[in-house]
Amino acid sequence: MTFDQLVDREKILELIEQGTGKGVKVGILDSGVDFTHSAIADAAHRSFDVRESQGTFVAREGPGTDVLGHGTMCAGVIHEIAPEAELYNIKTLDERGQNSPGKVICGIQCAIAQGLHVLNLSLVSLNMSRNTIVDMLYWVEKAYYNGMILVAATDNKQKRGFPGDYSSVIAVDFQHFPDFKSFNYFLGKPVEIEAKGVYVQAPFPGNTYISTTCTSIACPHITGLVARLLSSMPGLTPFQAKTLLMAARANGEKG
Amino acid sequence: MDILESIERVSKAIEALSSEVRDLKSLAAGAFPSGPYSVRAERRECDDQVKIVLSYLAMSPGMERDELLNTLLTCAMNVVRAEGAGLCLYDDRKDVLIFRAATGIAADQIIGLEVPLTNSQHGIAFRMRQVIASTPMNRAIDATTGEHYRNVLVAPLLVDDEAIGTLSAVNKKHEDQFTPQDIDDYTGFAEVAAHIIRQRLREYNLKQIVEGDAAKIPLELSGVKSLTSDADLLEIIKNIVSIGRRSPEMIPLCRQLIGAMANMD
Repeated sequence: MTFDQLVDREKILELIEQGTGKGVKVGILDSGVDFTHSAIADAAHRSFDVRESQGTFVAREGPGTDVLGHGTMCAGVIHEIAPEAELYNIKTLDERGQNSPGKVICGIQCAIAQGLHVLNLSLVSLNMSRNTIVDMLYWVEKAYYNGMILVAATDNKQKRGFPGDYSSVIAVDFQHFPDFKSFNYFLGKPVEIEAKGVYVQAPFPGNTYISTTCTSIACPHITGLVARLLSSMPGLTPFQAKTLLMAARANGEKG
Repeated sequence: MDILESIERVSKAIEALSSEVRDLKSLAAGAFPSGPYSVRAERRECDDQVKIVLSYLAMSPGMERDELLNTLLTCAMNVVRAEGAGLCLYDDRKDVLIFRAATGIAADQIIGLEVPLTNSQHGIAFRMRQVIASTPMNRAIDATTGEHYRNVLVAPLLVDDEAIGTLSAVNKKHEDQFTPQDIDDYTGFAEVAAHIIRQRLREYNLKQIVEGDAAKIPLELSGVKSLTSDADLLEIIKNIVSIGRRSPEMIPLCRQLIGAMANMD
């Protein structure tokens, strides 16, 4: 008997269909989120700024102003898919748009402290030192054992990048799909999931919209989908979520 | 380019070269005292090396007229069948990207335009280091050029994971938008382009070292940020050259240092 014969794909899709994200706390670790945008204003919950302070990084409640428009796009996609999810904005890019693995780690720590259920990481850190890879892994594992589901974008060049390359994270690449409910899953590859990410219409700062294609915009489709699953099945663990995603994939035996 | 224009360019290059060598010679004659070894021979050898370097560098015109970059952009345009392509380099003093070279649609009007990093596709590509295809957000460029841009594809120029600028393509021919295949193709192309452009920037840096005068850096390159590793190396080499100029007895040691750096991985 195969895995696909064992699971009921239709039942999982039904759960996804029923979910709204209600009661699910979703973090967006990114360039900030423009919560004044009319498309996402009602989903805003809290905002944090990760800044350097005395040689270390700290996350404090702050405006979390979007410096690029990137985080706003991601938040918009998540809100559209899981309209009742509570959005937490964790801004790691500073005014000069600088990011670093240290800030990402601090952002993950903040997400754990806030008890978030899902964390969207539409970013990739390349060429990290072995020590930094281990440091980040420690906090990614900590999040995993706290039951937080981490969803990360992959590098366009398919280079090894983090946090997407950690096995406890759901790594997402973009592909042509009609909606968020259709996606591919590839077992045994660092990039496990291909989700909708081609010319996606998303909110952009200044109360405008952008239509965009990139891995970053595919990632929040899976984040939103996981938020829907979590609202249908509260207490879903990261392992269970990944298993359900695998079972519901479009490229399965029955798909 | 016609023959008269070529002759004009060559004669200007020779003129510039002659004055540079004359300046360097007078500088060397005034600054280099006699030392315990044959400084005169060292100086002659230095002059010859400087001549070679200057001759080579004199062949490189300004960036907007750079044949290599223009060819690169034409290829960038053709790879994804677009109507235009542009090269932006990061100006770290202004914290903006500036179009340094362009080809195709409204190319002449685009060169020199500043692109903000906030809320723009170029900003996302540069800061998030990812290729992005989208509808245009910066309508100021439409207004400046009088053209209508339907879609844009922007790739970061990355060397060792450090972004030095962006490579963009506009208006996909015969289609409404760029495809995922275009993104894949452009990603690979931008990787090659980044290394070529880095090499060009190194040549401009070399020109700066040889000329020893920051004021002579071509105007279009002022503010352009080199890779951190290149900028650090440039600073070290400039210091070594400066020591050599001030204290000719140190020239052999300076040579050894530069030789050792050249052999570094």
